[in-house]
Amino acid sequence: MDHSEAVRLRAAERYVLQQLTAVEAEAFEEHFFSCPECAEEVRWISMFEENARKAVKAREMSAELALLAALQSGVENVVLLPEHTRQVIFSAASKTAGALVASLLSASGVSRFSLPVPAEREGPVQIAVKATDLDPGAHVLRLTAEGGAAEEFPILIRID
Amino acid sequence: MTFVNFDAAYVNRLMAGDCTTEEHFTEYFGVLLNLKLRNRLRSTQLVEDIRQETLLRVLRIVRAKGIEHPERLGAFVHAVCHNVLLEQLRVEGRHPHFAEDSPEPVDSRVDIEAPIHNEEMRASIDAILDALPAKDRSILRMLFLEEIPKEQICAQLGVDQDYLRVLLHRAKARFRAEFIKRVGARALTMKASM
Repeated sequence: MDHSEAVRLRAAERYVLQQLTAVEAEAFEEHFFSCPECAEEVRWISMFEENARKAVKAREMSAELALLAALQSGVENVVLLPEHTRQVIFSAASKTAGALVASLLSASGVSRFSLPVPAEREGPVQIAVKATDLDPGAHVLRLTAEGGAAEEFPILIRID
Repeated sequence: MTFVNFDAAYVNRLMAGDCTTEEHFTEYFGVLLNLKLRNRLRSTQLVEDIRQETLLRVLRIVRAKGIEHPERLGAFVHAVCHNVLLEQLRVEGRHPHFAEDSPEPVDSRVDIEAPIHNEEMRASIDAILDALPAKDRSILRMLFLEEIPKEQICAQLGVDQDYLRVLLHRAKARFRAEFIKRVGARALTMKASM
């Protein structure tokens, strides 16, 4: 195999992926022992492969316990937070179509967050918050439509 | 690792026992031998034995009588490796091509429990993995972590095997650029050693 054939066959990548036939692999090995360019190519791919393997294995998927709190509008929704809960997902079914702004107000009326909710959605609006950011007591989840109309979902947080 | 011309001067330096040249020879061809042998053998011990024996045998021959065509040193090393490989396999009574379904051997060179010592290498790889589209990241995860056969990955994600090759090619190019940016070309010699 000469260099132009190695390039044409994309031999370096196929060699590392073991996509070459035994005959092609043998011919490519003979070639890259004498061709610095192909040797360098194979070395880099192998280095990437070896290190990516280690890096991917070292990456652990993170997961935490969550509590799903389905809220109803106009009534007080009591949410009991067990101590081990790390995340709370508020699920609020809005009657309003179109884009909204969701905000959580504390009992004193301070907005804890405000985020846009796109018009293209299916089912209830679901918002995840860190459990440790929630204080016990009364809150209101407010969904405000573009025209200013708002739906309110009163919440009473209790730490279990 | 820098490439030098394999010529009469290089071979003469090897014959004279020049330490720097010997070091270069061992490192340059050691990596290539590793790549070749790992593609054929599962036993890391056997790979190492054959690698060492090949390098030693070539150095002995070169020191004793030089080689007729110094410019073909690479081909000569490859041919010696081939012979050593066949001899070893005869001795070991093994066959170089293993069954598709044979279990993955433990690679003693890679301790997956140990922290990755080379933080720059890790940072480069992490940056690349983070920047990849979700599908490409999934492919690499399946390939490297779950070790799913390539054919199965392609079927599952609706891509052909050429896509894997292109992905690997792109990832390698990004890795190379990222790594050089972080570490600099100077460190490549050391980092490239396997």
